[in-house]
Amino acid sequence: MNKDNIVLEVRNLTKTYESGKTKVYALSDVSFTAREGETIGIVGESGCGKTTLGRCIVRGIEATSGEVILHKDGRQIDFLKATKSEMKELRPDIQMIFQDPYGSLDPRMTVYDIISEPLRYFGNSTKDEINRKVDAITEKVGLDKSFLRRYPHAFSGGQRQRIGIAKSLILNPKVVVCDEAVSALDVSIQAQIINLLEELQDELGLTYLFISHALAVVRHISDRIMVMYLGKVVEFGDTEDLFKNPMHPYTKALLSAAPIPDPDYKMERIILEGEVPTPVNPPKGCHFHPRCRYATEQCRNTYPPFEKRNGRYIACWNSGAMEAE
Amino acid sequence: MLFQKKNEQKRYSLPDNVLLKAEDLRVNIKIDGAVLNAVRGIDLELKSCETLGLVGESGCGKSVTSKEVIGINPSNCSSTGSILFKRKDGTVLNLLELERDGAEYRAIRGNEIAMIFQEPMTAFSPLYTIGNQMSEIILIHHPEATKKDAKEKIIEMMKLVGIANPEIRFDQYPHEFSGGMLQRALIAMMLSNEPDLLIADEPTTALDVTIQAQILDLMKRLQSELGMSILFITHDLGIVASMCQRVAVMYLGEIVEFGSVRQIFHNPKHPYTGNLLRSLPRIDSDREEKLYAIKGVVPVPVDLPEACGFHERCEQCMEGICDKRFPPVIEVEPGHFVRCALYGKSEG
Repeated sequence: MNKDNIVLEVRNLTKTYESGKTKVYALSDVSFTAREGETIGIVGESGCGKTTLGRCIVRGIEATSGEVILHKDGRQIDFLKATKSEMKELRPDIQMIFQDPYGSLDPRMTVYDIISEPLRYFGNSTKDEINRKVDAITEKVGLDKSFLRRYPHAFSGGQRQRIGIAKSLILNPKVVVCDEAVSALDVSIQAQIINLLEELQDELGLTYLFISHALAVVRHISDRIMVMYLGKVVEFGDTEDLFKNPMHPYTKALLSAAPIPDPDYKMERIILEGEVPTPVNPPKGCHFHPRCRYATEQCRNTYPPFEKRNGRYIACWNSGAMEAE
Repeated sequence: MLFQKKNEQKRYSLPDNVLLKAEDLRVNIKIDGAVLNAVRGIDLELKSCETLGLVGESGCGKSVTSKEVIGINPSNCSSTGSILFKRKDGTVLNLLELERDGAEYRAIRGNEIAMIFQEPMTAFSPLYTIGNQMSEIILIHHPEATKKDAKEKIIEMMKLVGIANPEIRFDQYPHEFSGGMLQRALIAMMLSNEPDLLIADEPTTALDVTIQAQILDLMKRLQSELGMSILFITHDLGIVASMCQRVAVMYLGEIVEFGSVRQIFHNPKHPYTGNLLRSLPRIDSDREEKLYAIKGVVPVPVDLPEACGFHERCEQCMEGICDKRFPPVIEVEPGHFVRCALYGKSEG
């Protein structure tokens, strides 16, 4: 595994929905690169486009424009333009783990059928090979072999999530999109699954795109973090750096709003006024300006460029002024 | 019991500063012929004007406990023990002795004890205007009030909780509100009769972080302005730390630890509390390589043995003790109670 190897490049990914004359930007102009073995955390509130981003990358929904370039064996292939037959070769490389371990497993299939289904569809493994692979992956995710003949209803949320992870990893993917993969779990189970995801990443060299609203979880698991607001990336940088010194006013408010499990923890909590506006008719200029206390005339009129500043990507007119404060 | 006459009810009393006290509360739920021991003998005391946190993971019995207080558990639940509640006029009642649908309980519910729920989106009916639904709570408890009085009061309450343009909002339907605004409306409605006790069952779990911060801020402000007690049910230890004065940690239908918020967070005594705090990823300290994870899963609360509920997952489990009997509750320091065999003298 080489941490400098780029495995995935997302370029200007945009998803719009149209209804009559209105055009809604669910996702607008998102670009980033992901390296082998790294975890990129994607955070933001409901409606910010983080799930849309994940789904567009795996082609769960088709993006309106943009590219998702997969680096494979020295070739660069646009995943979004791949034909059906090409997809059969590429699909195993980008997989997804879902939030709801109750809704994402077919109740009428046995655990064995669920985990082996991708193998039966992709590639031409023999029965013996399939059995061997299923055995290996169930052991890796910490499930007992005796579970394979049972149905999903017999399992708890944590065990179901392990089944979902086994199913997603059995094709040896390079990139795994984890959409709120631990959000439905209790704290004590959540820690087990996070540890499992990290172990599997080290062992298999996986790249995770970890979508979540839980900031503490994202900080723990991610190397880099992308903060989204109303379909756009507002800040993108190294985890530690971003948590220590958030530069975008929205990131600042978001981090300060997270409740800290320490009764003596004193931090100035920035309570944002108002709510996330609807993407149907987003505010002119910077989308965040109606809730931002630093907003100026410039913010009200033009959307700021997404620029690199001090090793961090940020879209804000005022980050310089804020630092001086 | 069933034929007990009203005037023969036992007389109860509570100390001056105590509003609610549950003793040896047990709730069993009948499901498909099996009996689920949802709450297994808890003692709880809530002082006036304090916020008490009830924390625990799914299935630990925190919601069942709170619903038992306000008397809205479904009919397949049966309870024993007592829940003493001090009414506004100073009389003390055992809520478990009241008839669920009786006039007395109905006079208390929504008036002296109010409750807000996790999903504000489903707490309102989509068929009626917000104003119509919010007025109901006033019209029911104050038969002398006219619709106009109720509207005035509701608009005043909407202003109090920070809903802009209350006159317009009054005539809107729930779908025209965002989640955060609906939770504000629900809080406004529930507080309009100035209850002494507000039960908040995961009131911000369905909301976004920045909206959650707004609602928690609002609840704190209203509590200091109106002076009520809050029973705050949540699984989020971060919220507990910022909202509550005292905390009860529940596991498998028992309160395993009870104390002030500082005692619980800085000096947790029960292995479950300590482990739970350790297994949280934090944003206020250095990142750890690996998270601490509690082994195993919460057992199903059917036919539980007379033993500590946590013993199977506990690293400090003492064989022959923890798996053989119920540990007693020990006061390890003033006001800090723990139910664990590691502490105190062994009995028998």
